[in-house]
Amino acid sequence: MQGLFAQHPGFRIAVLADARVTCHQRGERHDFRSGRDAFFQVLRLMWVSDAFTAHVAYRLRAAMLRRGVPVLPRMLHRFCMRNAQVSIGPGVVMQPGVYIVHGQIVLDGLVEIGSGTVISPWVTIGLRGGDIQGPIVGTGVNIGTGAKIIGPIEVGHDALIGANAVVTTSIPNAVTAVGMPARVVKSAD
Amino acid sequence: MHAHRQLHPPFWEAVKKDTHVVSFHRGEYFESADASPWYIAYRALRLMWVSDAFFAQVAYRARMRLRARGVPVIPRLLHKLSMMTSQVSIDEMVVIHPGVNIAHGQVVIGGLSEIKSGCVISPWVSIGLQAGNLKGPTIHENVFIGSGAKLLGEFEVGAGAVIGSQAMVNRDVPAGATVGGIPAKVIGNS
Repeated sequence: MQGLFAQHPGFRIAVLADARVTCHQRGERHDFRSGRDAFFQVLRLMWVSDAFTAHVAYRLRAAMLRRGVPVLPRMLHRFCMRNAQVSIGPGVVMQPGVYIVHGQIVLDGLVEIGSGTVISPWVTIGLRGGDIQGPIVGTGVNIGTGAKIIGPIEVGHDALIGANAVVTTSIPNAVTAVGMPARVVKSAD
Repeated sequence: MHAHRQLHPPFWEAVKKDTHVVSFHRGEYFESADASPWYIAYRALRLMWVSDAFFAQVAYRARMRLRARGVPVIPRLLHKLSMMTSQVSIDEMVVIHPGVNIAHGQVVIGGLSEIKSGCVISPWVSIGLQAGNLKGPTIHENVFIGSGAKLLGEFEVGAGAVIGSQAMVNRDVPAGATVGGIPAKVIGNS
């Protein structure tokens, strides 16, 4: 497990990138002028954005897991669940710069989330029976509300997963997938 | 933005009608028109105790009225409270008319959406935006929204329509129709 935890990004880098992506997606200024400016932007987002407090708590927890801190990570996990219903398992490697829109998500198993990904409410990214390898989600993927991405699959970069889609097979780069089970409705060109 | 906030119904009127509608859907008799304020308050408090999401709903009503009066800080804390008690997350731009039943909570509503009286919102529902447009759906009177349904984009749902479970609605729904599927199609009529 410790080898896996070593893949978690550092706290400062991750939170800065998350704040930038969150500001960008909210249509706000996302070029921070200084460390001080970035600090106040992070505090502001924790107040105005539904899930950002939980997001920062998750990042803190991931950084603690990486250093092998006991007990505290579990308490931070409980806090995330209470605060914005964000439940992210310890085996999930979330690259810096992810936007959680309102919270209400469950991510578990050996999952990798690329930077620039947008995760809407009621999304589940997880496992299919008997396999602890979960999905590998590329960079810049937009996951619609209520979508479920399950099993050892890959979702390509810049793909768009429609609302309420159930994705059980790999999705190529830059396509739109919708439906239950999900199929590609719009290809890259 | 400030003018828009005035569209939110007064607190007491909203809670009175919400109590009426939630009681009705729970199969409990309650006529709010000729009841005394004390009795209405008792019924509202009782629902806050026995119904899963009514506490969060009242917190939301209070939040919107405080917001309209320009009170700082407290509205945001009330928002966090409704998220923590019943996972109800409703944006400030949403207008919910008096008399809506949020069945168990677990609801995310965003954007410039409007929900009229008599609607039932089941768990795991999202009502909101599609990329690049701030306008969400307008949902008319007495619409039933099934569990897990998603209503995204600028369109109208006619009065008395039924949205099936796990439906993904992104265009107009005629009054009285039943829709289901991804994307939702008309599958029945009442």
